Amino acid sequence: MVIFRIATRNLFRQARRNALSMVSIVMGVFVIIAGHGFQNGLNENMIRAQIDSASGHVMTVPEGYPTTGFRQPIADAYPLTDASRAWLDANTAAWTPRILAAPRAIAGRDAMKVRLYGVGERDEAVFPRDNWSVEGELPGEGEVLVGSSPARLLGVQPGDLLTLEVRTVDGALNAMRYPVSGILTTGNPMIDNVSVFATLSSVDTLVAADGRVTHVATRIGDRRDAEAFGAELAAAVPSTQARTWEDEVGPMLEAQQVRETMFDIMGLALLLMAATGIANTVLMAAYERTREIGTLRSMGLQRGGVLAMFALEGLWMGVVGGLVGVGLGGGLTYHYSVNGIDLLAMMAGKAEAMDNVPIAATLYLQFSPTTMAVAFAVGVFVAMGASIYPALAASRIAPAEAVRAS
Amino acid sequence: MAICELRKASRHYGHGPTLVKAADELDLVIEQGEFTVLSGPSGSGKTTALNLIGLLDQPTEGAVFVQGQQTNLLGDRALTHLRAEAIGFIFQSFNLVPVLSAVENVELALTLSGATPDGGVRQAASEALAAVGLGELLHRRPTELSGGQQQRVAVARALVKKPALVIADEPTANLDSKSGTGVLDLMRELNENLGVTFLFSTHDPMVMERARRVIHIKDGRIARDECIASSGTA
Ligand SMILES: Nc1ncnc2c1ncn2[C@@H]1O[C@H](COP(=O)(O)OP(=O)(O)OP(=O)(O)O)[C@@H](O)[C@H]1O
Ligand SMILES: [Mg+2]
Repeated sequence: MVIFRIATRNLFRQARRNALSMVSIVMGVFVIIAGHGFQNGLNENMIRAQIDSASGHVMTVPEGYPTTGFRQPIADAYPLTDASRAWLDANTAAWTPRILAAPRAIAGRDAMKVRLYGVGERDEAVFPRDNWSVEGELPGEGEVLVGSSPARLLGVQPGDLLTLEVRTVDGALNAMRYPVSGILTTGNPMIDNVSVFATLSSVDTLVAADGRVTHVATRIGDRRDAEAFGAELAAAVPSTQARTWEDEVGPMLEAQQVRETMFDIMGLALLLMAATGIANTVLMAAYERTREIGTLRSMGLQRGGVLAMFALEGLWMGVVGGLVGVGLGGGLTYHYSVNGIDLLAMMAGKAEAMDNVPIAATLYLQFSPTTMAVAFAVGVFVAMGASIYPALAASRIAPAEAVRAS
Repeated sequence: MAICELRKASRHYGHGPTLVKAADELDLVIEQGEFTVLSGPSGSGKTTALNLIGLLDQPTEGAVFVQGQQTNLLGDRALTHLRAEAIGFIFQSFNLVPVLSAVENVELALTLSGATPDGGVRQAASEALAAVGLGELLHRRPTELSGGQQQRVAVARALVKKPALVIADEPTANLDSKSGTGVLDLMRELNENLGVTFLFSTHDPMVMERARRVIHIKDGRIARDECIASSGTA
């Protein structure tokens, strides 16, 4: 159609001016896509880190276990019956018993509170160790593997001795000395900053657990089934309650939601700027082409045709700006969804504040065609909407303007 | 039947002390086949009269008839439609659409008038351009044409839809005398050979020489209306 042809070619008459008006569309669309990609990537990162290094899909904890703060569940350790073990074997993809305690770690004159994990032999089936980097050896019986931060703070090396002082299950004070088998770095501050690992039986001896455990972490086929599975699990292991990965990480994700909203607001603010820019540009074009519009009207173009012509020009700016924004945002999120961002390097020096935040060392952005489509549609809609008013103004230009001397 | 007619048509601008009677109770009839010039000093109301006849503007009082149809009561849509169908315009500054090539400009007039010539729009447009001597320059943009060539495109554009009346407001004012003569002779030819009706406004004696009827306008009124027997240059 001829109106379409004219509108499209008109776009190039003030190519530079139009390109400038499109910049905000590009930025708005880009921010929305990149923001969502970052936030959803971060959420997924936290979920993975939580599942892979803290809770599995579902874990049992003692009844009345505190859900916040530094947890000291030793006093409520519970026995794992043969029936429970059989049920776990039959109903999970993998499971592992753990004893968590909060001893004081002492080396020479330095001491600090640490989180001690006594882990079962098949712990790796639930908590993968792909990102574990161990300087030295994994701990054998009567040895400890120390997180990189405590190792540094306490000044211990593989081969040094570390004393752990702890309350036993019965509340007595006990302390034992262990050779350090290795130093552990994972990139997850929740592990690296405060953890000490040992075998389940070593810790059992230290806290006099007598076969009792504080946690059983499980993996199931699909993490979305965690809640339903949790109910069965709690029933199968007496005197426990189940906590799913969602229970653990949910409040944190909710807090993150604020940031996602911020990105959207930023994107929309940019698009609003784009709207005023485009409205201004189209209005200028309309006034510059007053005589041309009069001529078209004198030749028989109806008002609606003039309106369509200028609205199309705005629409085009939205389409072009939107496509560029989608290209940039999509390119960025795709690149980092494949290659990942090294969070470890970014968090250097700030990780101390994140003892309780599960984060994996590499952040993969989320690449989402849906987000891209929505951001594009919003950009186009805004540009088109912004050009309606100037297009209306153009459509009211009188045919007699064709002969008015310019 | 008259192609168009003004009956006591007035067009006033402003009001009170600033009131300008750009057209003051004009009575005027244009018949099929005329080659008529509106003449008069600057500001006398030539353009105003042409705009009323060409339906680009509407009278504050009085009536305008085009092809026997009274236009006062028509809405914008109907007026636009009638204008597209019945009237072709040639402008002082050519007014070609700059983003369209010569042939696309001519096609545009056809498309907007709703005409569907045998052989298609492209062929009719090419033929119209060939008829004004631009058969070789179909795909030039206006900026790639001389003023005389642009005005020839404008002539082709006005004529391609075979309008009842072609209105040309000072068509030679922006042309050198050689191109102006060329364009005028072309229009005169079209008038004589095809019976196309032309209505001009001009200060240009060259145009008046070729006219067969000259209407003198002063202060929005017709001062003199003379028919010239001889047909100017042969
Ligand atoms: N849009 C307008 N608003 C106010 N006054 C106008 C307008 N258009 C024309 N006029 C006035 O109407 C009168 C007639 O103008 P018009 O343009 O018809 O004269 P003209 O004979 O075509 O003049 P020229 O030879 O300079 O083109 C002039 O006094 C002019 O100032
Ligand atoms: Mg004039």
